[in-house]
Amino acid sequence: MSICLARADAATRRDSNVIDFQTEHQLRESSVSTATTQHESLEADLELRRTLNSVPDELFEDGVENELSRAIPRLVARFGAAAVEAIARLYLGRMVPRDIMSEVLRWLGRVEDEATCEARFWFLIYCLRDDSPAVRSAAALGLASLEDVRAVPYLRREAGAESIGLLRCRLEKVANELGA
Amino acid sequence: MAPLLRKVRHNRWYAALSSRGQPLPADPVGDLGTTDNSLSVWQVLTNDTNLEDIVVAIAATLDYLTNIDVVLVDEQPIRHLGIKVEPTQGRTPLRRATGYHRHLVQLRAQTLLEIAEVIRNQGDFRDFSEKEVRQLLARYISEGSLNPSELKDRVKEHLESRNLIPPSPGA
Repeated sequence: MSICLARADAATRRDSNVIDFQTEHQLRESSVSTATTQHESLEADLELRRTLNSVPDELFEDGVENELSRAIPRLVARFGAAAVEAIARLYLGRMVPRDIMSEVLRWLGRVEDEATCEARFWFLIYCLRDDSPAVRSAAALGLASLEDVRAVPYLRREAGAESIGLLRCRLEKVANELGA
Repeated sequence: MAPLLRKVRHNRWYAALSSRGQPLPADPVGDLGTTDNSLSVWQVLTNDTNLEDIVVAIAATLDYLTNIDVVLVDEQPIRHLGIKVEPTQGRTPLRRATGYHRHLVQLRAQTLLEIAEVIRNQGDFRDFSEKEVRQLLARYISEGSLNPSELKDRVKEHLESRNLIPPSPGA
């Protein structure tokens, strides 16, 4: 199963042109290269849902371990691309509160797994245009952790469109660090 | 008067900063968690001369290496709210920073909202990226100011994986 981000409901996004053709094309390419079996996909879905349902109603703090900081690396290690695809499906279905999704994105950037780098990278790029500033910020931080210089033009573009000054500074800073 | 620093998450303040003059959204209160009616802050010296010490002091207590968002706010408007600022020993492996720690004490719930308003209107929001925090920790360790054995395992592993500190004995 592919990541299928092309099915994103544009109405849930900040505008209907949220993803340019290149990004969408890259998403498709990355999902093709990491195609998974239907069984893996289902397993990853179930495990991810179990994990997210077990996340306690807590405030996430930077630098403090939580259920997700342990679970996301474990899920990606076990299911690889299927885990990333499962996360993308939940994201697109808006089935996860944005604060939890933000935490997931930060950990997607931190996971050390070469095989899923492409899928994680393009998913994080996609999330830079979420309608929630917390999600946009988390996507930028995830990209900072991934340390992939290809994110720079996307970060700069989003920084230029960002209306929240503090978040704009974050996007610019990540772009500058990656581009240095 | 020197500013006080509080570790926060900037994303909790986006809506508040975009709506100055309107009622305060609830999320910023999540950055003002108290223990025993006290709020943990750090005293920043003039010209930020101890700012890096404070950031390292905070980073050295974390479970994993990450960016650190902070906000600086002058002590004067905080005191104008009738809040007492008391020196307390900071719990951090960075010994030289322990004296910079403060507690805002005897707080009431209403006072937290007032603090949040002061921060919203006067706060100086800054962030230290993961890369900056990593470099700071590595520098303090190489200078001998910070003992890596006192860091959490995940932080040590992160620094070791980038050859910023030697592997732990027995690793």
